[in-house]
Amino acid sequence: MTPVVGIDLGTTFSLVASVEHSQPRIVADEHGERLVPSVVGFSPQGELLVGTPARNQYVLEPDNTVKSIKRKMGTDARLSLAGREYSPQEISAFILRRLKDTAERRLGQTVERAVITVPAYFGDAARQATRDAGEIAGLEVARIINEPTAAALAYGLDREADQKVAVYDLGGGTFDVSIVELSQGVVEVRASHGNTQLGGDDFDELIVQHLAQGFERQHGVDLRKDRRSFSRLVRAAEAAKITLSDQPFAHVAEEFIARKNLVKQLHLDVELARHQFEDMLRPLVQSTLESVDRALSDAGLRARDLHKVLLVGGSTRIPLVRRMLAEHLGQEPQTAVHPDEAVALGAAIQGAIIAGEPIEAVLVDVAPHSLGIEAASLMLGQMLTDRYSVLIPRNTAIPCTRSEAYYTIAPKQDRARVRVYQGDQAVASRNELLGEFLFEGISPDPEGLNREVLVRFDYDVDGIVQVSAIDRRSQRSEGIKVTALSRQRLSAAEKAHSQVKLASIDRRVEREIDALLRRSERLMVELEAAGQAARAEDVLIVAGDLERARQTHDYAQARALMESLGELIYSLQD
Amino acid sequence: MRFLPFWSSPRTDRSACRQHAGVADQASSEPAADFSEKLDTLVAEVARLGREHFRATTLLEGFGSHLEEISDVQQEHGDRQQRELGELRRVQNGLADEARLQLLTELLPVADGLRASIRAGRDLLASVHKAEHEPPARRAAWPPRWLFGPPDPSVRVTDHGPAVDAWLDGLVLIERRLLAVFERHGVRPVPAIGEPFSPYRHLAVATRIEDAVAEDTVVAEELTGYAAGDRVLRHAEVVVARNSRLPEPDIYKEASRTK
Repeated sequence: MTPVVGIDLGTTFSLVASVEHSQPRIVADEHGERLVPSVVGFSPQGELLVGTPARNQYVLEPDNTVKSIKRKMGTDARLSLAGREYSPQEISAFILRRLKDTAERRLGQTVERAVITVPAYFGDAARQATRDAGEIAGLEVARIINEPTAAALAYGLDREADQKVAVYDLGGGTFDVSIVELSQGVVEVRASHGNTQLGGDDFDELIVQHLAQGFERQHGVDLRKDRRSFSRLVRAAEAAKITLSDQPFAHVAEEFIARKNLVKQLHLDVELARHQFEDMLRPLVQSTLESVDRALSDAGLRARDLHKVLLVGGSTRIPLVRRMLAEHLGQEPQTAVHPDEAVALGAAIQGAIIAGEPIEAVLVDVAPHSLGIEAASLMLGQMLTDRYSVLIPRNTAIPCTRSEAYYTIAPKQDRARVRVYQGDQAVASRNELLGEFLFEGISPDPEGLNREVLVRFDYDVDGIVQVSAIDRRSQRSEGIKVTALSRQRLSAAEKAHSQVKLASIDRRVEREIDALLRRSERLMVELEAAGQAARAEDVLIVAGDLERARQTHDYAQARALMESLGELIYSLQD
Repeated sequence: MRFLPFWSSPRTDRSACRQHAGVADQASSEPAADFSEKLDTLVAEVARLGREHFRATTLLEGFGSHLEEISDVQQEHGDRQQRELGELRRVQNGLADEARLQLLTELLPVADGLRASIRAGRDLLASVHKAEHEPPARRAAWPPRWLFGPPDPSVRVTDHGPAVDAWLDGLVLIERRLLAVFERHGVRPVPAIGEPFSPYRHLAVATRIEDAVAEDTVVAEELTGYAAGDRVLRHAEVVVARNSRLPEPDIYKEASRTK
């Protein structure tokens, strides 16, 4: 049985996944890389380069290197590389062949068939071009499926009840949202909308500009003017963005990033608060919500008709994106499956379905309940106490670490009680109290304002949560360990199904039926051989009835049929 | 299998036994009047026992093949478990290696910072030394003071030049110590300057016109790369030489073809 792999042929990155031991997995290349840059080029020596090496030579050979070929799929574009003309299909085929090789090396067998994903908005020409690319690469394209469909498969939604879901996909360079309808295991994209020029790179750019402007104000040096400083700045900005997904502050430190007057060394050493980043980001996220509304109205649905919202693409890790989407659609989005990998995993699942291989739901350890602390909040000038402030929302993949900043109610308050709750009620005390402690000796704010305390949750795979309170000024910390309720796998339905199967196999009567049917089969062969086809027919009829009774679990009927079949066989013997 | 002899031919044994018992009972009470009737009963009894025997053998046969199946399945499971255990061990070792390399990769910026600080210290010493030892007239002309401003008053290392030098040497030793840790784990800097550009180990960030070296030679390193054997942890970011007279396209192609 040859495997059918799943391929996410992306604009900036591509991935290949396969189902092994019933589990879909991303296949890493020989360097341990899971994401292959979607870049193809030729070296000056005429050597074909795909992925990272092609990206590495881009500056040297811009005319012989192609990026983002996906944007040209389905067009008549011709690309000239190393003196030869290539179609977009042929360029994509280089990437696909590389992924095929990677999969073959890992699986230890030839890979001839693949499921390839395309954006929902791809037209027929682009889909055909993708199919052609697969064939040029030596792959039989078992199916072309939509990216949101693949995401729904990765979440195992095809095994659940009929439903309508939104798939929000915010990647490195493109954004799209699709409304998907699942009906009796069939997945259909009802509407799709997006912006092919919006993504995580734009968010990095915002941070770069912010940091560069701040540095210029402070030191009078523009980091954007020096290539070397600039590339360090870009890297630092991306790292800060990632940090801010889990923590309220990111410390950006780049030592010796520039020189002033040829002698004085300058360091970039600033702190970026999550709320600063969010203020910059808000308009961009807002524009994606407009696309969500467009897609919903195209599908003829309202937000409340959606059963689920799935997040795909690395940029959906940003808390503001999740928060704004949750507020806009009135429900918490699903985040359990790795957002960069969901599409490729879904394609691999589709491949396994086609190959007739057994598959289980994607195994993800998730927090079964939200975890948070009690906090007070101001609403219309009123102090509301006993509010529940969630740090780790339900269904977050674990292990994970989250921290948030809190303030004392009064400037002179030097202690705070941290009560850790588990549950989803807005009123803290209605949730289950897991533990509490008093954090004392919080150092005063130099400006006499309310004192600041960071609360951090480290949730490990065994469900143990280390809760720490950190005095932001002195960095002194205290904490407790609590145990969250048992974790759960993504799909419990799977387990229940196996249990039913096991129970039925265990029945004694099943074994007796088996024995009898086997015997009758042998007898039928003997009768046929002896030229007594009519008698064999009699046996076949009763045996058939018995088989049916077993399948419908009608054991009373089965017992009666066993009796008569036994009689019949006995009478025909000898 | 051990109970097979017991079931092997019970039909004759058992019926013979019953028959014998029945004959004994009947013989004492009545003579041969209802003999044929009794014979019928016995025949029916024999038939019943025969059917029972048949059911028993059928079931036994079924059990036998079922057992065989079970042992096959068990064998298969055992084999699979063995395979998976091997796979698991392999994966476990791989994960340990992976975690180690990940940690070392995260330490690379520390090595960068150390290297940058040493370079900055040397530059500082050199520039101060130059300022002290060059004739004032020339110093006034270049660098022009109005453009770069007066030297920072806090920078006054000339008197302590040798001391600062020794301090820098200390930093160099720390850097060496860190690189030795990398080396122990098989991680080495990627050779760059003077090497021909390799897209597998170098990331080109710029080109520079340079005729003293061959085209595509790395002439500067902006970020040191590191590799563990063939596995590149971080590509070296490099500036690559371009000769001022670009070769004719035809010759260029000719050269690549012969290679």
